[in-house]
Amino acid sequence: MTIEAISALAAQAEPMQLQALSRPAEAASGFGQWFAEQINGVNDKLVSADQQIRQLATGETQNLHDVMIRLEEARLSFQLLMQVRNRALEAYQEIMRTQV
Amino acid sequence: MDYNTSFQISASGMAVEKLRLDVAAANIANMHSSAASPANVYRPLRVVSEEVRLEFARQFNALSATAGGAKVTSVEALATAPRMSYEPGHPHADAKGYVAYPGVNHAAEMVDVSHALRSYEANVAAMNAAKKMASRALEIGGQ
Amino acid sequence: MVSIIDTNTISLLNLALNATTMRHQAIAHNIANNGTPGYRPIGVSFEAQLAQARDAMASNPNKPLASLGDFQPVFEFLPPNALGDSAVSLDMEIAKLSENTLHHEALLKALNKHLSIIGSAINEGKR
Repeated sequence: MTIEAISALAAQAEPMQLQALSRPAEAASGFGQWFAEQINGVNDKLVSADQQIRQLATGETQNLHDVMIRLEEARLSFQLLMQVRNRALEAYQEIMRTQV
Repeated sequence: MDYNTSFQISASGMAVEKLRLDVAAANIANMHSSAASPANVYRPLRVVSEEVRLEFARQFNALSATAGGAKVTSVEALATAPRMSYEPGHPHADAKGYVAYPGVNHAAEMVDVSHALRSYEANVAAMNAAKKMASRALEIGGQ
Repeated sequence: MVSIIDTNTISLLNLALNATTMRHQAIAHNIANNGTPGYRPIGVSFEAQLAQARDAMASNPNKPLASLGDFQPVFEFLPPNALGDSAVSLDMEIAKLSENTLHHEALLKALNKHLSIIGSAINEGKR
């Protein structure tokens, strides 16, 4: 019974392994694409926050609280991006540390 | 800047009310200023003010005022008849012994003074509120 | 990126802050023109539009929330009061001023708390 169980397990393990190999490629493009989009989004927010600061300095601002809100949103978005990057990096390092 | 607009609106209101107060004070001060002939006697002044239309600017889908408040168009002399008072020994007395004094309505001028004062304080309150709102907006994201 | 955590709250608060700022300008304008003859007081209408939007959403939940840009506060002439008099009433304007200022500060406080919650979530409780 045990030998059958082990062979059954072995039979199961192979297709799973194949699937696992194909999925990282997908997952990488899925996550990588999403992450790239987020980076662009954060960049846009930072650029717009920079513009708002410039308008504030030259006195063109029409809306003081709008400027403050955008600045705060840009800051929080950037912090969130940094955290996601840190976690992804940690996960990568964790995997690299795995003893083969 | 939108808070700048709020300050300007209140400041223009304060300027108008201050002028009203000054004019009322001048009228009261000259209440007993007689003149040699009724034609030269002091005429009470009135401030004529009008609205500065609120102008809007559309920016980022939001309306915001860029101008507004009140302004003084003119200070006019009222053509009130002078008050004649019988004082035969007065240097400015005419042939019949009447002296011409300005037709200043004391009670009305006092009412104007208190009205101008109240309006001035209301404008100050509006400006303080705008200042408080602006300083609170600056604290967004502070904690 | 913060938009994945927070949906429309910050935009809605921004819009409400615009409305209270505009309302303050209208009230200040009314107070400044207290003694102007023939002056018509102005106000800002915003909450009524939001109520309309809320009712529309309640009656038809499948309709997506239209972009918040549709609900803009607008300046309008105030209707005459019960006596048919449309002159500026200084006491009412001062009362409206206090209410509006308090509302504005309440919105700012709510915004600050909301942002600090998001900040705590992002930074795992550290500042």
